[in-house]
Amino acid sequence: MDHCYDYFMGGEFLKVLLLSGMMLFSLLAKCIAQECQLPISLVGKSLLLRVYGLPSQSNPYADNIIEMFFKEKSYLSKVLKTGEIIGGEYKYHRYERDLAEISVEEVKEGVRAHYTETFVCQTDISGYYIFSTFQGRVKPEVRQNTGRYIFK
Amino acid sequence: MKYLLFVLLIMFASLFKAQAKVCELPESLNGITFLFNISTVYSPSNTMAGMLLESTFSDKTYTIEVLDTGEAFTGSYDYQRFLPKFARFNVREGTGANLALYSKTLVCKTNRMGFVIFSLRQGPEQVTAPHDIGTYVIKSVQ
Repeated sequence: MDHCYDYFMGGEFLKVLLLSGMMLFSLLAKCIAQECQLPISLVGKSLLLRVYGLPSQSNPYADNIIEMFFKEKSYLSKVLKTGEIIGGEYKYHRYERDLAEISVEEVKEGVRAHYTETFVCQTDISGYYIFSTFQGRVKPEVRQNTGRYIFK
Repeated sequence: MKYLLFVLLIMFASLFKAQAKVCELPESLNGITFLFNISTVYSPSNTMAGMLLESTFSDKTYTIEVLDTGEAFTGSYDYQRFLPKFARFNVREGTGANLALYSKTLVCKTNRMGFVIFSLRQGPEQVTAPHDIGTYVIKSVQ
């Protein structure tokens, strides 16, 4: 009898475990569904970057809006206030659903610049980004700034 | 041969110099104290704006104090360094209705400081800072 009892309880226990597992899973799925996500690829997308901060030597593009257009491997970025256009090559990597980075290399006036933009989404079309550079035409070379991004 | 060696040496040195400019985030947060300054402007939907926070990490747990108000919280975290200059930690604070899950994404400017994006995944209703941006400074390393 004891064995039967154990077996029965074991089965109940499994059912409870399964049920709670399912509940946990649906809760998790709901939780994930509420989260924003960044695109898997930037190809064909147009991105607006609003640069926060006050214009200074270390933040020359502050208070500007930059628009970026992405193709397969290359991109064009346009500083909307001045009309300045710069192009180059980029790599996009989505590390998590809500976290991605583009790594950019551009050459202008014979000087190679390398920078990254790290994106954390707030909604599926907007969020904050961190711009970070260590090498480039604009001095000082080590610069960082932040702002809002919007996919147009 | 000597010239070749010399040129290689110079190339190596310049490479080293170029790399030295790129900052690095710590491999582990254990024993590190951060200061976070939330740099967005105050609004009714962002009551944490402008505040200064201090956060100390041990092996798996951390404490965070809002220096402006003296409020302190503790929780558990996991840390992932995607690249030497780019990392994120996910935090779990409180239980039940007060459970808050959020992440901080760090991008360094120097080995001591950089920018941070704060994003809340789930939180109690009174938390009104779902998404924020700021700067961080590594205050001390134990």
